[in-house]
Amino acid sequence: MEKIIRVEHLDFHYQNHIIFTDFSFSVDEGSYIAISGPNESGKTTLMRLLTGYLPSKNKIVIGYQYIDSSQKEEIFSKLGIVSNEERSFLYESVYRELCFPLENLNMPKDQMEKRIIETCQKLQITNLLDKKIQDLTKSQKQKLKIALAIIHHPAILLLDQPFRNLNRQDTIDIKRILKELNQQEHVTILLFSQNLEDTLDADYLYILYRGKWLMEGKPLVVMREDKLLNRIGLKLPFMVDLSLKLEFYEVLDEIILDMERMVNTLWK
Amino acid sequence: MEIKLENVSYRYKLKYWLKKVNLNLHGPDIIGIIGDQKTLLLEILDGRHLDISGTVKIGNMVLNDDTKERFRRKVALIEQEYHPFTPLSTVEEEADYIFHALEMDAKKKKTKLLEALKIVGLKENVLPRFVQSLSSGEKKRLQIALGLLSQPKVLLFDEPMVDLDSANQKKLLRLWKILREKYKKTILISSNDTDLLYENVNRCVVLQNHTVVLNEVSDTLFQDANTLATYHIAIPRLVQFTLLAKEKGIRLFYHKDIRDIIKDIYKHV
Repeated sequence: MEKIIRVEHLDFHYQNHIIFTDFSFSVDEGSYIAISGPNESGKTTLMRLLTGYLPSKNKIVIGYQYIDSSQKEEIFSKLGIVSNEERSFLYESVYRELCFPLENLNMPKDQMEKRIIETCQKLQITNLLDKKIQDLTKSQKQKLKIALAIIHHPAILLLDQPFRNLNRQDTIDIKRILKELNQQEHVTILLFSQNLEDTLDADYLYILYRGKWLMEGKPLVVMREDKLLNRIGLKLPFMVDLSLKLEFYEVLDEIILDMERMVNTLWK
Repeated sequence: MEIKLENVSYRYKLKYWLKKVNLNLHGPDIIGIIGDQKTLLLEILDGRHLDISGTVKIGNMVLNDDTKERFRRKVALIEQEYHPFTPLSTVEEEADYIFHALEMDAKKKKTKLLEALKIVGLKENVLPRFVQSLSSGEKKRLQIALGLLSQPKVLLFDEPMVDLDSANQKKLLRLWKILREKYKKTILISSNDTDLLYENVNRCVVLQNHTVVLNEVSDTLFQDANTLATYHIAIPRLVQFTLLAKEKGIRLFYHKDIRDIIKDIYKHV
């Protein structure tokens, strides 16, 4: 499998505060990877390094190019980013903002319009198209951020807390869209969140703690280490927590994520 | 402490963002807000929008041009993102800006600040640190400490849990209880997380179509699947489990802690 993201022996510190020493990892093309960890584990710093927001001195390769290289624009056209930095949008209107990533691809106008409508329909935000960004609610702004990340059909998505400020139904909808992009369009996804609930769709989960990998594996395998996860300040997803506790009482013998299925299993 | 909104409307760019809001809340209490325009409602309660129609009252004080300074001391809004006064402020400098704004006696400053830091669980050693170097949990607690300096009766939290890990969330939950019980504060929390609200607030306000549609005891609201469906609010998962079991003829109680529902399930299998 080709490694579409590679971090090689990275060292990084803020003033006298060391974040990463000799830190390495890689992401296979087409995979869906989640990175979780408590506050101050280094997630945001890693995201900032991956998005070129902080300098990484030729230690990070994305889409087969060093992100500090001169072909920055070429790299960024392949990337879709939802960052947690307070995003200052470039334009006043939602429609104009959505044009921007497509203008960078020199897309013809009629095609652009089609793509914008298609993306907004997918995210159910066509009602926002004639609005001004400053008038959007937090959850509407979050959905706009996601639209901006996927509108140019990038090969790689770097997502920092993509479900931030969304209610449960919106979270379910966006999770489904991400899964489809990964499975049908083979988009590589790297998702960061301190909420393990957000990571359940990933093929593989890494737990970052104090700048080092503490655990890694399939999400449901990692989450069996509930004591360790609790100790570092993480909470299991509700259904995983419930399943493991019921397993302990020997009334269930597997992790069930669907509540209806769990109830049907407990009381046939 | 009573919070009262009478016929409050907020019109901006030819559009109503909030319309004819009537709301009556009594404190000390921990109260949730769910639905659309939560942030705007909190900003109005914080006295930031004077271009509203209707009446906003805290205790006996009506918000208007003459009272706005005193009104704002009665409330503190803890915003979702912390914006320091300057990008390179230290904790002590941040506090100085607030003392200056409050025209507070210089001699009392330090004691007041240390007292506030102690309540939220921060130590004196944070004073020289840059705000930007604090962890997300520390920043949230510092925001609260700074909010406490004016000795407000009402604390407003906008999506406080979203960026915190579980350990920091637990600390904040404990702090709310102390603020309510020991310091008699009224705490309003805006959130989309119905699990959080069901498990931790006593009362919940529902906003929809630009107005307050419900102001209900949280158990009553969150255990009523029909009302939740009407207002497109997700059912708290602990409630959902009890409801699904009920369909199977299993009578579980409504629980607020996963450990309690486990014991209840164990009795029935």
